Amino acid sequence: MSLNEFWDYLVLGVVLGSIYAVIAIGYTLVYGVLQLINFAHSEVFMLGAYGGLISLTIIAPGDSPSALASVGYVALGLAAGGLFGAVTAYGLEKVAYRPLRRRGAPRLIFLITAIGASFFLYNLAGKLFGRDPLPMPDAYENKKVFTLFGADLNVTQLLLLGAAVVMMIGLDLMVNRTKLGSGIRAVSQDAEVAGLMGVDIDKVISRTFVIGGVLGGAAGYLYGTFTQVKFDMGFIPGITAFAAAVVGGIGNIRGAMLGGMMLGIVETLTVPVFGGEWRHVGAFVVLIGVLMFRPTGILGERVGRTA
Amino acid sequence: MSADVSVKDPAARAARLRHVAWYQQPRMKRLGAMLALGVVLTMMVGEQGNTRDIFYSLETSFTGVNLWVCVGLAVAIWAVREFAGTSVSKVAGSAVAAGRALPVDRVRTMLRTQPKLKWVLAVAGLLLALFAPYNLTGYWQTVLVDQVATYALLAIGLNVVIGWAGLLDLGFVAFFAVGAYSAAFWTGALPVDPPVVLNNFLVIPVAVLTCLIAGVLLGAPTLRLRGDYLAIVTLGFHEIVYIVAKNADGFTGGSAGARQIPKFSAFGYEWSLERMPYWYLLVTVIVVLIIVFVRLEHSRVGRAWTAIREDEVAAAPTVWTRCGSS
Repeated sequence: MSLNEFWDYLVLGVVLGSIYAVIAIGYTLVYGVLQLINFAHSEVFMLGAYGGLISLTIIAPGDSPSALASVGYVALGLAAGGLFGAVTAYGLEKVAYRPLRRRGAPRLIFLITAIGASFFLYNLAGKLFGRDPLPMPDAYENKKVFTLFGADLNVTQLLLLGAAVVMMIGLDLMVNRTKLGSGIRAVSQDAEVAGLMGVDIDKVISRTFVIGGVLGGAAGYLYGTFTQVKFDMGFIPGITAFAAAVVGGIGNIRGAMLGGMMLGIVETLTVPVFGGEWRHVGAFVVLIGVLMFRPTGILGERVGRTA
Repeated sequence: MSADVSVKDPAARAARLRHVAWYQQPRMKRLGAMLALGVVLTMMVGEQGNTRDIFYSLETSFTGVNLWVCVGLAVAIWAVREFAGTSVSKVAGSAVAAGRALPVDRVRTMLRTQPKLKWVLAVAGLLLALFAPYNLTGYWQTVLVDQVATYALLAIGLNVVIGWAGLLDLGFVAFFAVGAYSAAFWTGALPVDPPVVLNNFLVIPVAVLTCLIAGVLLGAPTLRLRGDYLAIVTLGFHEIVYIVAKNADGFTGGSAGARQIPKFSAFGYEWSLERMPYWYLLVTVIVVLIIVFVRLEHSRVGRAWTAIREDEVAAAPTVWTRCGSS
């Protein structure tokens, strides 16, 4: 692997990693408030991609839209993706998890429910939208923007990176500065005491799902422009992002960002070294390696009750 | 409406808090849920979508008669449940409320108080499993062998890991693959030749041993992990096994897999294409395993598993030292 190639792959890795980081935040937020691995989050991501696809199919940007129009189309795709993701996540919480929570179901039941919801949603998407991959309609002309250390950066890569970074900074500010953010932190530290202090736990959990859904759905649109849209596209990014959340320390939002970035880079650098078919192995080997030496992730977990 | 009057009068304030709009009433909420179910059902029974026109399925589902049938059905069920006297759920609910046992619980109590009944049921079940499948069609016999029996075997194993030890193992089925591939290897069905080609029955202990080694390899780095960390690591292990099996063409045969695995044979008898011999083989294995595991559950190791599940930290000093030292 020449140095030029290395930079190319590194750029790709950072781009992919930023997407994983955004998805991983969704996992880690929900894990924080519910101690639940929300396996259906990968379907939130997938439906977000379909949201972007549907909105851009309806609006149908022409062959070479102007720069201003491109910005509008991308914003539309992101908004539609976020909306679909938010609605899916909200519905999931309301339909699948809240009844279980009311009845005090054991944690294993939540997990099985999450897996079942995931199966249901992706098969429904396959039924409604067909089972073949679809390209995301181009919202802009994908051309080279500039060269960094011999690696070409094109519009898609910059868009993905930029949008992901903006979302991450926005989320970090929201969680650390706003009232809802402190509610989320309070519930993840100790839901019972937070409830006694006047935090509306149901509302906080519901909104946490919505926030995770917006991020996941928008990430789905971005990932769709990067690759293709397919009914089972959520599975691999989903488990990689969950692995990223664990690598960074589950419940820890900055840890999720770090872990996502790391696994994205590792996954992409596996390609030139071992070949494309081994790319997903790299991420999981890193996961197991990290957990061997730091059983609670790199930055440590931030969950009040650990069970 | 003047705000200050209601603010001053606590009773009026309380009344306003208690006021529920029509759409907030439980009955209407249930109607909303049923309507949503109707819409989902419409999508589920509608046309298969295609990628040439992604709106095709949605369009046909929501413009056709299906929508009205499904939504009508949902509303009808809602109306019957709400307005037609005592419904089934109310009967069940009142049974619970009155402290009467549900049928399932009553059977359980009966089994506990009368141990002989348990044996009668077990023998009846076994006889049913042995003789009933003869009357089934070939398709259902295949289902019994390929799915029912195999899943039962897998569930017995999974019950030990998740049920007794409480270890959330999402990669359990990776061991299924490891066992299958070692069976293929030792019977000479893989592209690489084994040192000796074994009979299928001899492969079983070898496959068990291979899985044991794989389990130790996975277990060694993950022993320190708890709960959900274990879940993701085992899931990662599962993915690694899957990708290796799919990509290591030279060893596993890639995505085509191993096809020419020889038939089971013992003492001159060969399990050929007939389904029932396989069924009897599997039933035998399942019965033996159930007996072994029931004994194991109450053994020292079984009690240790339960202790780990209940509280790993508390179990560490008590159970393991006893198990290890004695």
